[in-house]
Amino acid sequence: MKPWQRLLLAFGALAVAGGALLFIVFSDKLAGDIFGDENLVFYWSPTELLDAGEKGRRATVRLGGMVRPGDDPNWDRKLPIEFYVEDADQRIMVRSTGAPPQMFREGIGVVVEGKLNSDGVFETDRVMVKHSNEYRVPDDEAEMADAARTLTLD
Amino acid sequence: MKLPFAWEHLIGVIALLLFCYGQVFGLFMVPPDAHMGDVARILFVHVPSAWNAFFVFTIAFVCALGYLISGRKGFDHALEAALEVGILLTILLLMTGSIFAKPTWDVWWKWEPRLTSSAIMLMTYVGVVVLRSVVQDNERRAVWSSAATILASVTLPLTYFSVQIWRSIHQIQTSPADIDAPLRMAWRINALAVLLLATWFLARRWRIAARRWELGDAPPLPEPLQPEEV
Amino acid sequence: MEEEAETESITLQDSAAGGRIDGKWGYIWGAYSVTWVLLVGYTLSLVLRGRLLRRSSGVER
Repeated sequence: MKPWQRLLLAFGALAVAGGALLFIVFSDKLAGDIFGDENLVFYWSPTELLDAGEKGRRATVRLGGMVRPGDDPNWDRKLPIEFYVEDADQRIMVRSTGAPPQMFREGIGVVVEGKLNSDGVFETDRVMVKHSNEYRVPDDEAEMADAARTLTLD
Repeated sequence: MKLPFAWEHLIGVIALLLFCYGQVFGLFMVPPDAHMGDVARILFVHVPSAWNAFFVFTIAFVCALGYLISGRKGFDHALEAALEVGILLTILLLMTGSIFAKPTWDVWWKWEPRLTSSAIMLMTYVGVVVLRSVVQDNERRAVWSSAATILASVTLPLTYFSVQIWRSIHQIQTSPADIDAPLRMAWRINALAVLLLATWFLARRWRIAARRWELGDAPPLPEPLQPEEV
Repeated sequence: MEEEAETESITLQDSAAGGRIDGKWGYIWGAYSVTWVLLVGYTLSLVLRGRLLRRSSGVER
């Protein structure tokens, strides 16, 4: 293969790669603008699910948001566990027959899979916890953290 | 293009020592995370393998371009090495990530944007290696796998930014300010150790690739042992 | 049935205490073992392939 042919191949491949990247990133957003419906959504927010009306009730969907305690004072101590998933505007009551993972607590992000029933309660058997991107040393380990800090000279 | 005498073994020894230290440091000398507890220690191998997988695949991209522009066979040796080491690190990334996902998210695997794009990235690069294994002629293999590598590189930004482009259950990239100092140090030590290990792998793999090139049409996958050699 | 509900509520009580993952070292050892097996295994494959190649090409180094 001659050098100019290889160069052509390099630029051709780069162009195709760049085009594919732009297409993948923007096609779904574009489809959302034109048809009002993004396909690649891993979960719906409470507002979106409620806005979808009947369409949101028909299928099994994922709902994501922050945990707000249920009405029962012992809300996180019995099954089925009942709590709210909320975003800035709306909240939906969630009833889960499955025990949530240990990190589950008030204010943490969760994604639940299930269906919104006719009473407006989202029924699920699985609560997945979404951790934030912060990594902190626990308060009761502060002394240990100090020790580690001196060790690392940081 | 030939590497100087076994310089990589020096890096290999440092890498091994630092890696062992990093493992002990991450497992025992650092406090647990406030919420993820001890399980967060898995991140000290998960995150470094992610960073290094991206880095090594970026090297593959640069080598692919380098070969097509210059035609020097050294770029092809490096490309062959980078593809394989990158795949190794991606497998490590997916396995440790899966083990971490079970106690934190409560599932081993979910077809969500980050996990899906990482899996596609792995499969794409495996595809490039398979392509290399079916082309016999050195130069044709170098040319076409370079082009394929450039195409495969699409999966790099896609995977890296997947958590920002789409809604995901995976946490987004973090910044040093969001990590307490001891945990940050454990990440950095392990990331550097894996980087040095990867460098040793790349150099060793480069030599194998160079020798295979000299032999001519030897396939890049290991040949089965001959009976008389066992 | 009632017994099962009780054990579940105990699990929940544990989890509600601060929302922090407790222990679970099995996962940690699992992840670190996988790491070592992969990295040591790859090192061995590099050494082995290097040896085989040297033998088949008749080059001594």
